[in-house]
Formats: sequence, structure tokens, C-alpha cells
Amino acid sequence: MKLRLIFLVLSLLVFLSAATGSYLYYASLKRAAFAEAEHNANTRIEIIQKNLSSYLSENVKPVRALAGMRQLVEFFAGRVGETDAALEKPANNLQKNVYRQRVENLLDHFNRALSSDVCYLMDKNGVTVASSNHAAPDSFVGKNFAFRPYFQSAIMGLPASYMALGTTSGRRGIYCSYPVFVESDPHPLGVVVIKASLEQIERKLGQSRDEIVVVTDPHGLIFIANRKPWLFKLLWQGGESERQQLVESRQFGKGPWAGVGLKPDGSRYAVDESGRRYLVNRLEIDGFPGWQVIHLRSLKAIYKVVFDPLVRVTVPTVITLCILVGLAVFFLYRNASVEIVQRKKAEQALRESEKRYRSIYHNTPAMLHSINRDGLLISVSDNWLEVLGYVRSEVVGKPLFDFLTPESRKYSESKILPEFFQTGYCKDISYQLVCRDGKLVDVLLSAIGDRDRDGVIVRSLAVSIDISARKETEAALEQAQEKLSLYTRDLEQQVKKRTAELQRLSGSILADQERERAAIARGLHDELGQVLTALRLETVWLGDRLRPVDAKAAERAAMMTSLIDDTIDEVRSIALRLRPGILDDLGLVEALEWYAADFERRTGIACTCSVAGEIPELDDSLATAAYRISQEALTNVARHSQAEQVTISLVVDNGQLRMIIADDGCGFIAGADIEAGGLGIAGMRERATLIAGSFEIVSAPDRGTRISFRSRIGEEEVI
Amino acid sequence: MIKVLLADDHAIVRAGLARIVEESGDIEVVAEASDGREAVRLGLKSSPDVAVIDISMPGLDGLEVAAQLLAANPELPIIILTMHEEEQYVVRAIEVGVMGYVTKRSAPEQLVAAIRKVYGGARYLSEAAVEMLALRLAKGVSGKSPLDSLSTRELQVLRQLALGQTNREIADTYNIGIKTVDTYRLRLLKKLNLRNNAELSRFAIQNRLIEP
Repeated sequence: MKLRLIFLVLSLLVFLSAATGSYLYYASLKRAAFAEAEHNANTRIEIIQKNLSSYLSENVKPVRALAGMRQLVEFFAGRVGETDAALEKPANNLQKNVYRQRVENLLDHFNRALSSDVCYLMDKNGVTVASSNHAAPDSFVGKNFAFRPYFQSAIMGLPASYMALGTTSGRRGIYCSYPVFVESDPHPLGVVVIKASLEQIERKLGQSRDEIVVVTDPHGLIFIANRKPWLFKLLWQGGESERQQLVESRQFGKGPWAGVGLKPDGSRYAVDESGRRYLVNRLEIDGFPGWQVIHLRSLKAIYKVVFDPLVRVTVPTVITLCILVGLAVFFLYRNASVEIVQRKKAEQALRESEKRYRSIYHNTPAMLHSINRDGLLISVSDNWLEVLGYVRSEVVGKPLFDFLTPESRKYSESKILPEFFQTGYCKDISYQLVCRDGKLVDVLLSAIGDRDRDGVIVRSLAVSIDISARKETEAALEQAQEKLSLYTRDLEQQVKKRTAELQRLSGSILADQERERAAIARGLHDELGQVLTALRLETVWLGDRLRPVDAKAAERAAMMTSLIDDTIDEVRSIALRLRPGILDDLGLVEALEWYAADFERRTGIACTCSVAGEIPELDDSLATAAYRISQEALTNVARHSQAEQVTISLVVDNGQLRMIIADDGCGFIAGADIEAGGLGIAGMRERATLIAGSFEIVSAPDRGTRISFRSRIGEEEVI
Repeated sequence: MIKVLLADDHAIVRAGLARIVEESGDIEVVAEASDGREAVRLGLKSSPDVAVIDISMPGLDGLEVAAQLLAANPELPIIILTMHEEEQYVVRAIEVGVMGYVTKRSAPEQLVAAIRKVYGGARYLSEAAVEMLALRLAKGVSGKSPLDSLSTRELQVLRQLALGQTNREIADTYNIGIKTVDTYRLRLLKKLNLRNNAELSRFAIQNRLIEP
């Protein structure tokens, strides 16, 4: 619930900050837009004013040029020199018409060249005497315009420009007048006027709805406007006096000059009838005193300038931001919700598991109990109650000490409990518990401490094992063991004695055997061999003698020789197998070399015999042991190893003989079938032991076998 | 006449040998000894041209007798005549300095020739003994030789191959199968890191297994 509230507040804050940012942005934009709008309005009104001024003064120079034209002077000169009577003369009339014709041509020419509205000439009384529109139906030739200010000014000798409504044409115009002088006459004879249309200017002002440009006369009458309905109305709600003055001036028709309904609102603003507010700028027009250009700009349009970019740029940003924030809040909120649900589930599971563990705790067939820091029992298992004969209500809340014998209690109080509450662990503590019926139970107690968040042990979980029966058995066992060890010691001594005897016996048996073998071998080889050799000498001799005499008998002798040869081979072979004479005659090295070559010849397994250093004369028993060990080892190689190669190396160093026999065969798992398989390893070891040498065998499957035998050379032999 | 000292502890054998020697016509047994000490004494006293001595004799053995006789007269050609057929004995005898080595078994066929040969100043040894000596000599030349890793049979096969013998001839010589010979050959090539028989020959010559 809390989490949800936090999310809500957070998202609100995000929205608030987004809104504030937007508002600040909007405000600054608005300010800038207003400044810009004012600046624009100023610029614009200046431009309009300039345009207007230049347009209004456009015909000042042409009219001056027109005033100085010869035709006009001729026209007036003709008139000046004549009396009224002369005027009536037809010749004079004709002459006059020629001059008028010329003047009218001139005016037409100017009117066309300047594309003005009309050009005309007035006499000094203000009567129009010639006009470019003399042929038009609305020609005002003959009409008097003496009331016009431009005429009044020009006839006084001052050229003028003036804006007014044409009385005949009903069209607005700018009138430029210039006096026409004849020769040295200081008074002008007439006035020439060029009237230009104002429609063009109006067109230039544009038609924008948001921008109103008007030109007012000194009375506030709108004379030029980019809004047709506003024409000839008073810009400001004017009074009756102004209307009167307008009527009197006769410059702008007859009225009625209603107001447009604009009210000033401060110096810079104005409000129209519909309540629309405008920014107002005004500027005097040069050369037209009292005339003003007024520029009205709708505030609404300015606001639009502010709002448009805001809507274009800010709104998508704000909307995107809002969506993103909304999404983020949504996902976070969902995750949080999921987590809350999971947490609730976990709590539920925890409650269930606690219930289950409580049930396990109670039903476990072991003595379980827990105590708190004060040593009070807070829970016990059913088995605990069962063994000690209590019910749960009698036990829970009582001190554990109440159920211990005084000795155990003292032990616990002084040593076990303080230690336990420090380390949180104890194991196999021997206690004696007291049953309800007073019986004592021996237990081994092990416990672990349950720590709170600060690591302080708040309670224990202890399991006690009833060892009453075990203790009795142990006592009995101890007695039995003592007896047994006595027997064992006795037996060991006997075995040791017998072993020594056996070893001696074995040694002497082996030595005797060796001696006998040597004797037999020598007897066979030397005695029987010699006899056979002698016999062979005889049969060969016999054969040689008989060959020329009796071929058959010679053949028999050869057969005998052959038989004797076989017998010699057999005898030699037996003798060598028993004990090679070479070992006695030449020594171990030669014997091993011979045996290696013989082995290779018999088995096809390459056998090299290498000797490092000088081998001194060896004691007979050592030589015999080494020879027999190598013989046994090579026999194993031939029988079991499937080796391709075996090397015998002899090395003497530091007064020690070392013999290594290594093959590249299949090897075997050390310790597996060595003794049982009868690889003769026991025999080899026995031989080594008898001469106080050492024997070692190293092998592993597919790693070959390596037998190493070492013994001191010289005095330290046992036998 | 070549004067010969004959030393053998077995009377019958001695008699047989004497007869073989004397039947040759140009050899005469000037002294016969039945044990080692007597052999030394007679050898010094009767100054024979050639001494024929058995190894297995009571008292001093034949090799010791030869050594003592040669110590007194280094020029005396001595032939060892023995029951022992193992090449190790031959090698030892040559080391002592004897000129010939004949087994008793081959005495009827070889003894006379042997006496004549050593009397003429040359050595008399069986084929197998010569080979054994060559191998021993080759191994003994340098302290640590590549030959050390080779077994006797491998050395024999290497030498025969280097001498240009065919597999069949080698098989016949050592009484083994042709296939076995090839196995030995391949094993040699692998052990010595060589590629073919030509390289084997070069290797054998370099290591003085054969004379070039």
C-alpha cells in the first residue's frame, strides 16, 4: 500500500515538474514574442510611413514641371491681354480654342505619363479651366474648387499636397497643386493640379486580418485603410464638434462619419466593440500635419505566434514525456506488485515450513531441546519427553539445570554454557540427565546456537544421544581390549622371533641351494662335459679313420658324434640353467651380458645391458642375488609384459650397487595381483632382504614395469 | 716341428688332444700339465712354441695361467681350449692376451689349424667370437655411444646389414625368421633415427662396427 502511495506521489511530482517547466518555457516565449511583435510593429509602421510619404510626394516635382510649361503660360497670357469684349471675337475665340486645345493635350500627356487619376488647371478664382477628363461625362471643367485647401495655398504662391475626396468623381485622391505664374507677375494666374489615386496605396497595405493599418486626418477620420468598411469612419469614438468641423471643411463629402467602435486602452492598446484587443502604434506623416499612420495588431495573433511553436514543439515532447513517465510508473508499479505478491507467498511458505519443521522437531526420534539465554527450556522433542518420562507442560519454561545431576549442572554452569554462548557450538558434551523416576541417563550433547540479527546467541538447538547402554558396553570393551593387547604383544614377540628364525632359515636354504646348484652345474659341465668331449674326440678320430675303410662304420661314428654333440648341448643347458659358470668365472657383468643376449635370442625381446662406471669385484652372495633377481625379472617380462624392449642397468655409486630393470610393456596395477599372481616378487624381495639390500617395483598399466634393486658393496652383508 | 704345451686337468681329454695334435705330423707335444700351477711351471721350463690351455682347472684357472706365462714371455702364442662356448670367455681371453680360442667340441677339426696359425703369428678365433669382439670394441671406443641403446642381437643385425647381407642370409646366420630380421631392422632405423639401409651402413662405419 505504502509503495503504491510513493509511486503515486512520485508520478505526480514528475507531472508537476513537467508542467512547471512547460509554463516557464511558455512565459519566456510569450515575453519574447511580445517584444518581437512590438519591434516588428515599429518597423512595419516606419516602412508604411516611408512608403506613404514617398508616394504622397511623388507628384510634387511633376506638378512643378507642369506649372512651368509654355502652353499654360500661353493659355493664360492670351487671356490676360484681352478685354472681355475681345473675348467675344470669333478670331480670338478660335485662337483661344487652339490654346485650350494645347493645354488639354499637355494635361492628357501628363496624366498618361504619370498614370495619375486626373490633371487639371484652375484659374485664379478656382474655376477649372482645363482638365484631362474634359471629354468624360463626369468632367468637372467649369466647376469651382476654391474651397480646397490645396488651391487656397497654391493661389497664395505656395505649392501644396492634400488628401481629399473628389466631389465630382467621389474618389479619394492626393492632390498636388502648383501656382502658374506669367512672366514677372508676382501673383499666380492659376493653379495646376495632379490628382493621384489612393487605391494603389491601399493595395500595398495588404489585407491581413490580424493587422490593421489606417491613415487618419487630423480629426481622426479614417481616410486610408486596409479594411474597406472602416473607410470614412472616425477611428475613435469622436464627439459632435469633430463632425461639424468635417462638414465645414468639405473635404470628405457629407458624412455621416460613424465611429468604428475602437476605444483606447492605455497608451499602447485599444479595444474594439467585440472586445478584441490591439497593440497600437502611430506615426505622423511628414508634410501632412495632423495626419497619422496608425498600426493596429491583434493581441490574439501575437498569442498565436507564441502558441504555434509551443504547440508544434512542446506538446509532442510533453506528451512523449508523459507517456514515458506513465509507462515507467506502470512497469515499476507492476514489478513492485509482483514483488509484493512474491513476498507474501514467501511469508506463507515460511510459515508452512516453520510448521513442518516444528512437526519434524517434535516427531524426530531423537532427544532434541532448545534453551534460551537464561537457560530455560523453550522446546523439547517428543522423544526427549519419552526418554525422561515427562509431559511437555512440566518441562517447558523450566531451567535445564533442573534435569541435570549436580555434577553435570556444575560442569555446565561453570564451563559449557559460558563457552557455548560465546562460540555458538559444542559437541559431544557428556551429561547425566535425571528421569522423572530418578533414573540417570548418560547422554552426549551437541548443540548449535541460533543467533539474532546482532549475532547474539538467543537460543540453542541441542541434540542428546542416549549412551547409557553404550557406556556399559564401552567399559566391557575396554577390559577386553586390555586383555587382547596383552595377548597381542606376546604374539608379536613370538612372531618376531619366528620371523627372524625363518629368515635365517630361508637365507641358509637359499645359500645352500645356490651352493648345491653350483656344485651340480660344475659337475655336469666340467666332469660330464669333459667326458663327453673326450668321447667326441674319440668318435671323430674313429670316424676319420673308418672313412676310407668302411663308409658305413664312418657314418655310424658321425651319428655318434652328432649324438654326443646333442648331449653336450643338453648338459651345458642344464648346467647354465642351474648356475652359469660365467658368474663364478668372469663375474656379474659378464653373466648379465651373456644372460641378456641369451634372453633376447630365446624370446625375441630386445634386451640391452648397460654398465656405468667400473664395477668392482662383488661378493658372491651379492652377485648371486643380483643375478637371480634379474633372472626372475626377465622371466616376468617374457611371460607377462608383452614388452618389446627391456634394459638392465648397473651403476655403482657411493659404495652402493644399483641395478634397474625396466621394460616398456603393459605393466600392472601396483598392489593388485603382485603377491597372489606369484610374479616371483616375493622371492626377489626375499633375496634383496637377505643381503640387506632394498628392492622396489614400480608399475602402472601401459607404463611398463621398473624394478630397482640396491645394496651396499662390501662388508655389510648379513649372510 | 712346433713344440706345444698341453694343459688340461682331464687325462682322457688330454690324451685325445695329444693324439690329434701329433697326428698332424709337424706338431709335437713337449709338455702336458694337469693343473694350473703345473702348466705355469712347465710353460716356463719347457719353453714351448705354442701353449694350449684349458680354462677350468684346479689351482689356477687357465686365464690366470695365460696371464702369468705372458708376463714371463709376452711373445708366447697361447691358445685357450675350453668347454665354454660363451663369447664372454673369448673376450676375457683376448683381454688377457691370448692368440687363439678353440672350443673342445671343435678341437678335432680346428685345433691343428689353430696351432699352425698362431705359430705363424696370426690370431685364431671363431666367426662368432670375432663378431663379439667387434661389437665390444665398437661399444668400448667412446664412453657414451649411440650403440649403448642397442641390444646384442640388434648390434649383430646392424653389423650384418652394414656388411651387405640380405635378410635371408642374416636369418640363416642367427637361425631366426626373416620376418624377425625385418623387425630388428625397423627397430634399428627407429632407434637410431635413420631412414634406410644405406644410412645404416654409414652409421656402422662411423661407429667402427665394421671396417669401411
